[in-house]
Amino acid sequence: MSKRSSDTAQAFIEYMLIFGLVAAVVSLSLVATGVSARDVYCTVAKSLASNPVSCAHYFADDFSNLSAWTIVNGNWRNENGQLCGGGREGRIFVPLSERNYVINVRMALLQQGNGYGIYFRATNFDRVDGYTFQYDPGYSPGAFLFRKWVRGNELSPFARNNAPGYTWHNVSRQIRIEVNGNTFTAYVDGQRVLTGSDNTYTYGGVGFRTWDATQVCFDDLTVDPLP
Amino acid sequence: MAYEQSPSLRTYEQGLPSTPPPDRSARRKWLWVIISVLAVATVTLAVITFARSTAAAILVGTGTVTGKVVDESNRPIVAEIFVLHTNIEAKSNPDGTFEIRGVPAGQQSVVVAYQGAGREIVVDVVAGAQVNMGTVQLTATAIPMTEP
Repeated sequence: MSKRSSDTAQAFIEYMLIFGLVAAVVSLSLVATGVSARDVYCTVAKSLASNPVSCAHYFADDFSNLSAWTIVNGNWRNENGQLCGGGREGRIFVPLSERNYVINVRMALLQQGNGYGIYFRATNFDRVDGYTFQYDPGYSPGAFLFRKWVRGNELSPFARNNAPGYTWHNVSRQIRIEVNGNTFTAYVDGQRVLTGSDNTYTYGGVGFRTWDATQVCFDDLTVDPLP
Repeated sequence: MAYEQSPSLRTYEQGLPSTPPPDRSARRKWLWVIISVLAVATVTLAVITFARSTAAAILVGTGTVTGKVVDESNRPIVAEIFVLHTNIEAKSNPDGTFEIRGVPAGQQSVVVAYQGAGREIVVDVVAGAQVNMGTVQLTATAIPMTEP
């Protein structure tokens, strides 16, 4: 091999080494910070685009059917294009691998009972690990809660905001939950009602929960990257 | 200049060039500076990632957690016990006592649960030692699961 081609080969190896190390640094940084590559792509695309860029939903469902969902228990059904459930303890999930996201439920209508929950970062659905935001008139005197779930067991709320006198039933509510790192923020009809933080679970899917004599219907769920 | 870094004879096939060939050694030196910096960053990040893993926690050492679980009437109960961020699960004995070995040293969150409801208790586990959580009283506030 001539000296010139030997130089070229060595330079090629050095550039490949740099390329590989940059890839390793980037991927390890994402793992260390808990940021997904998709989030980075969305952020960069939005900042570069002259027109607003809408990154695709992580998940969206108008509940025309329940084919995407795993019913663990309860009486979940499709009624007039809505997801309805209740009458006993009920849990229904859709898996996701994302860490940070925004859940929007355009319509949540509690007709009767002690309330409902919206799961996030949920895994191991049969014995669920994760969190719920609970719209909970049954938690005296009526409260918004964040709970943690460990192997199917609910723990005491780690965030709670009492809302006595709130109109809990027969009003269609818009629910928004922002899941960002170890901080979770819930909004009802655009108004922030609860903030909590916990470090236990870092990723997972979404779902709904009923208990007691609750009757509730949901429509138009989206799970999107953080804005 | 070292022999390995001297220009090739082919460079001078057509006579002496008007300008001397570029000195590749300086550029190569910069390449290796960049490679070194990236290698240090990679190792640092890998160490941070490993330090957060369960395997690293076990390397630190393990201890034993003991205690007793009772209900709201102080009767011993067979409860489920979990150590968060690990796969450790156990059950208390019919007399309510439990002993969990192999718990990674450091601050650990232990969840004691009964009939669908649980309590989370933070415990400082010391490698090679036994930590007594004392008596944990559980109040069943949750609705027991109903099969579909």
